[in-house]
Amino acid sequence: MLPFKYIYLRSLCALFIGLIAMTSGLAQTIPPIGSTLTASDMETAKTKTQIQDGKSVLWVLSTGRSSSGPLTMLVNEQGVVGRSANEVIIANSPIEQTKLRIASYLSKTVSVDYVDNMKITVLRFSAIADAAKAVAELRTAMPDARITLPVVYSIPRPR
Amino acid sequence: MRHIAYLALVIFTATLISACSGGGDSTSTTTSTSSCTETGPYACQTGATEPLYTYQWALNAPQSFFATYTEVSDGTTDLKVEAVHKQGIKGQGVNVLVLDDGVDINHEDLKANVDHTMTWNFQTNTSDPTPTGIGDAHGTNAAGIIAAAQNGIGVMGIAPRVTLGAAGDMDGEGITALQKILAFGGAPWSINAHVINYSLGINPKEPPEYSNNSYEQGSQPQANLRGGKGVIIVQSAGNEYVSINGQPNRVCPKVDNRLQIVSCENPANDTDLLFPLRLSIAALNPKGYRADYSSAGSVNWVTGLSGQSSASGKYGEEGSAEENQGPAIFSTDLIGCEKGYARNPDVPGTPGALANRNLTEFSTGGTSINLAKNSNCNYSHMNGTSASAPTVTGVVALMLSANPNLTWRDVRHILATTSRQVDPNYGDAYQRNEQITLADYRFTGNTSTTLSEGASTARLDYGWQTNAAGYKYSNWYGFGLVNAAAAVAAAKATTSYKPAALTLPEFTIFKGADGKEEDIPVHYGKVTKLKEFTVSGTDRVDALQVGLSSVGSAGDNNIQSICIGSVGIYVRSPSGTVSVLSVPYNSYWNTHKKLYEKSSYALSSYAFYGERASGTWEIFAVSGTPATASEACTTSPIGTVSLGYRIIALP
Repeated sequence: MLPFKYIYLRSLCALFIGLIAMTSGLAQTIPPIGSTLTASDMETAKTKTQIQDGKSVLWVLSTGRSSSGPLTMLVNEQGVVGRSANEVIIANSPIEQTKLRIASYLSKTVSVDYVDNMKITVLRFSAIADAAKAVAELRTAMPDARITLPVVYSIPRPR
Repeated sequence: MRHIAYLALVIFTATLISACSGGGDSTSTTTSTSSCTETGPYACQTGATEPLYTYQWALNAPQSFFATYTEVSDGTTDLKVEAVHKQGIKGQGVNVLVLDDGVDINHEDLKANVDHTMTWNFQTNTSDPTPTGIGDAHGTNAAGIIAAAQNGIGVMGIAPRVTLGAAGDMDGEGITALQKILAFGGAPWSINAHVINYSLGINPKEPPEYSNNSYEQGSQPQANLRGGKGVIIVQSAGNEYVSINGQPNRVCPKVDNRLQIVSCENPANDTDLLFPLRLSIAALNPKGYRADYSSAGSVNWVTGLSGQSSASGKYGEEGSAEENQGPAIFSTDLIGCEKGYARNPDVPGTPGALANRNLTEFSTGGTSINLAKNSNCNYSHMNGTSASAPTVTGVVALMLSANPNLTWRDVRHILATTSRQVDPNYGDAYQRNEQITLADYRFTGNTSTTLSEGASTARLDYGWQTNAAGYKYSNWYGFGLVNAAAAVAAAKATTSYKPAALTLPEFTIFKGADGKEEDIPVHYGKVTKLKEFTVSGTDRVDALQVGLSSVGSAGDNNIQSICIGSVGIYVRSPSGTVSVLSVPYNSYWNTHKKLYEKSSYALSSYAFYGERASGTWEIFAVSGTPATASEACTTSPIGTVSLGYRIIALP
């Protein structure tokens, strides 16, 4: 039922990714979310900025902005391209407790959203490196919370 | 036994109600003759008041237009919903939120039910969720299946008196984690949702990351929404049984060179569906069989109705279900013939539209049928598990309307215990009941159900099984096709409620004597019993989940981390029920190199629902031969994996 939808979305996707690539000054277009880099492209990617998320390593392919804020295109160790909105999710922690722990990070964020009824706080950073650093530190400081750096490798599609 | 007695009582009650109200047979009347509490011009009337109702086979198959087209319809497969409508139960008091590409809230058949405090559009950051794209009719179709009003025009939703909310652009390229959190109960416009319909999903190209730290697990507060009773999230299982659109380099399993013996995609690869509040919905066609595309796996909860992958003729009546043809689900569409699924064939930007969109004459602007029945193109039809999920959402809304005190656990338990077995012999068809050789994936002719350590053969599908708690479950259909009459009867009969609070235990990781994650060998081409573990206590099982990772290092070919595409994971419960959580030669077979140390992958099964958790569980790797194109998997007949498990218990 949905081939037109896919075509439409793919066009948008290409435009979107193209814009990101342009804003980052890259000579070539970043592959779409979910695609896999070739071995040679992966070698090139590994020369770029490295992000550590727990045991995982990611490399920054480009940075840019969408209408909602900063975005970073990344590639993981398997060579799969993903996207981060530079968000840090702090879940399973009452908001008032979270506020006490995140004060020192606020200067580097572009937004902080408190979802009180879900006990979730979302920090959005200007730079993904700052987000990753915050995740590492907050995991130690808030052992009972679930703290993540969401990276999207697959976009929800109509079924 | 207690569960079986309860089930029998529910079915008996439902049968009585159905009989008293005259529902479910070809002699049924439009209006109930007794105990009607609904008021208004359509009080206790079925959808027969709506001009397009005859095409809504899912609501009344025996009297539908399609009943006589025996190649595409059996004339009996429907939701058993008329008996409920005749009681005047139509979703009153229930808030349904449709998270999709948007909903045309000005539609003549929806606008009366729309609550503008429950709408949002992530693309425009306004409260108008009406989509702007020519083909963005997906959410509008889903909304109509649930909530189209009973007003003497168009179609009727399964719960035509619900309060409807909607969010647009949930499938947008830039959707963020925050936006998803807001949509699923974290925003003022979503916090009052009682049921959420999410006819979207993902098909990750690589095995998705899932661990104790996954932020999906931060969704536990959803169990506290709806005044502490929990929101119910109904999601499509996926349309990837046959193939995976848009990702041609993922291949589907072939047995003896034959496709479609097992599902190409595993719904569990959408990690949202590992979360117990999410109900994964499979799809049935009007002939009473799985729609050809409906993804199968052990996270499917129940089955709704949709249609086949191709609709043609005037309304979808042409062709044969055997050829994947037949009617879809009729519903609301974007207003006008310039956009939506029903539109003029010459709309700019839609090259090949007639061929690609499975259009019937009804949905093709300007045809004689269109001009006679759908001249403004305000109605169309949709298939896919995108359509089957809203049919279940509608039934859930009816249940909550009948008894708003039900917790999310009550709702899913009632669905599991009142849904009915369909296609009972599918597990025996097309040699599906045969053991296959693991080394080269060929049928053996042996239909033994034995699963044993070291064997070189195993089954891929156990079909319908009755577990030790008395529940029938299958990977194709979950607990079966929803039955609105039985579900609502059970809802009304419920006076004792299950707790809504949800605590997800951490995965228990198997560790060696050195305290580190154990390096467990997996033999390719054979069955390997990875581990067994013993549970004590009185818990009963809701879900059993298995977590996999590797102790090897990425790029270290001396440590042979398993190729997850070659390895199926099976679990046998203490009661002897075997569940196939993933199959060997699955859709990651030709693309995935190996399971990296730094990634964690999880699977889940509801096949053990209600069984006692106590006793010894066994986890098996049922392994094929890695693809020759794979790296790092082929130099050794043995791979390794780190393993964990958790049992999510019933309260």
